[in-house]
Amino acid sequence: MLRLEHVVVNYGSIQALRDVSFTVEEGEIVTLIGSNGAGKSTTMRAITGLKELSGGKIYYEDQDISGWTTRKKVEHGIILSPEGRQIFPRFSVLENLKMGGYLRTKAQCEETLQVVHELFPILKEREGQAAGTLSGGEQQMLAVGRAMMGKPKLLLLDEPSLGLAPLIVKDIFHLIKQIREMGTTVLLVEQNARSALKISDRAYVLETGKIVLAGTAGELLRSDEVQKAYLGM
Amino acid sequence: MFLQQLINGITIGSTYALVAIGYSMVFGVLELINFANGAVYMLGGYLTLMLYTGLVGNFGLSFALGILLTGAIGYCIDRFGLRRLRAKKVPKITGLITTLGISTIIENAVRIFFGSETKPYPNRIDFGQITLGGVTISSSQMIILLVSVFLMTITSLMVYRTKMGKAMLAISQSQEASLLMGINVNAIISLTFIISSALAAIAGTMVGMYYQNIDASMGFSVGMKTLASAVLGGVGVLPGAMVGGVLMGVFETLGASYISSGYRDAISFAILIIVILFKPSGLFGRKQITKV
Repeated sequence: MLRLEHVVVNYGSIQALRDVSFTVEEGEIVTLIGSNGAGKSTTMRAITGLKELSGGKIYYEDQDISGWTTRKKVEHGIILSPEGRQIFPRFSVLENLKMGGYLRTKAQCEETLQVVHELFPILKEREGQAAGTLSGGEQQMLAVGRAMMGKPKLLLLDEPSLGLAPLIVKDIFHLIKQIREMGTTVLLVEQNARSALKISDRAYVLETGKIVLAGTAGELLRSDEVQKAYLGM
Repeated sequence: MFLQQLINGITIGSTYALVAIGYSMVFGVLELINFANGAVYMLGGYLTLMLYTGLVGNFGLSFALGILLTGAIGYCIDRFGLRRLRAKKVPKITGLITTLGISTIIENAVRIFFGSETKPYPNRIDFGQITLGGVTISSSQMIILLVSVFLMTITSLMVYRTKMGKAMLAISQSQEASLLMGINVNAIISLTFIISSALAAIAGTMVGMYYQNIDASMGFSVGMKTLASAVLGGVGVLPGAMVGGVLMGVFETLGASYISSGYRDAISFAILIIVILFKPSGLFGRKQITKV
């Protein structure tokens, strides 16, 4: 479904991604793990078109989408729930969700809104509240819910568990599994490697802008390198 | 006397409000003070006059074309002056200096093409006046007020009730998140410039007709006053800009008639300073809510 081939991204003279190649197949949950500064978020930004490529190509459903605008990618179902949530703080919860369906018709939005409310009942309860006043966990759910409102085929989740209490982290990962069961493919970026690997099919390890390890989630959970570097064993 | 001055103040204040909306809208989406807005106001007045006397001959048509042309210039300011800077993510101050430069270019270009002397302006909305209990209201005043209120209503409805307006409000909160929603951020920003410039052109032309003259330096003083109006009301908040503009007009008219006309501008700015001292976010300004 998604294929990155030798992707290079520069920030000025700094090479954030040196040579990143990986694939995501339809229906999978794939996780990118890596420490701070490894290039995980940059990869997500490159896929969504927020950051332009300095080299390499990105293919989606067998089309070269390297030069597409973010808007065109959203139209085709590539939707990112960004790092740090980036909800609209002055909009109400409902307005935030509606923004997520910006490119879709009112009727389509209504339909998806029901699905999102079933996934995240709290977002219905808090419907009228300004999003900036939600707790961190609620904001995260809103960010994911807002991304769902665009009806993604490929949902990109950047650090959905960042800064959340362990109990809420568990909820979030459970929800990601549910979202996949609804037929959405998920590419996940996580520092919380163990929880992420547990729900993933496959994973890649990113270090200083390069993929250094790839395998099924089970393989990586058992790998010595991953255990040492990311699972604290 | 007081009532008369109040009406005069509200009339001129309503034109300030139209220009103040422009500052507020652009600041809302970009967090940038568009210093060229005052010059665009003056240019709008000149373009209508030029089209009327030089080319078209029909005032209504010239006015309409003047608004369109000024809107197009607003688009160019963003497209060629600011968009590249945004793409390069330069500090906001760079954009501010750019608009200051554009303002100087516009003002001096007008001086070159039209001369720097004050030009007479035809008043095509003068159909007489009515006197009620000692208060005289001219048709110009009534029309200016009606047009301003109408435009303020339309602009508010557009910003707060349409999808496009929602996109503007979204961009004002997070440009990146707006991109991720599929909003064409550059197009919406361009549109903001077009609307604010068109509003300024309408105000500039109406003021030209009201005072029956126009000069190249009027953009600077009105630019400063309307920027102050936007700050007074709470910059980034449309109702704030409207109320701020009207208040500014009323203050300066009352100040000029009761204290001294020489202190017209000083009085309005003194009031601005006092308000800001006690309410830094302006009369209608919101407190920032940011949660990390």
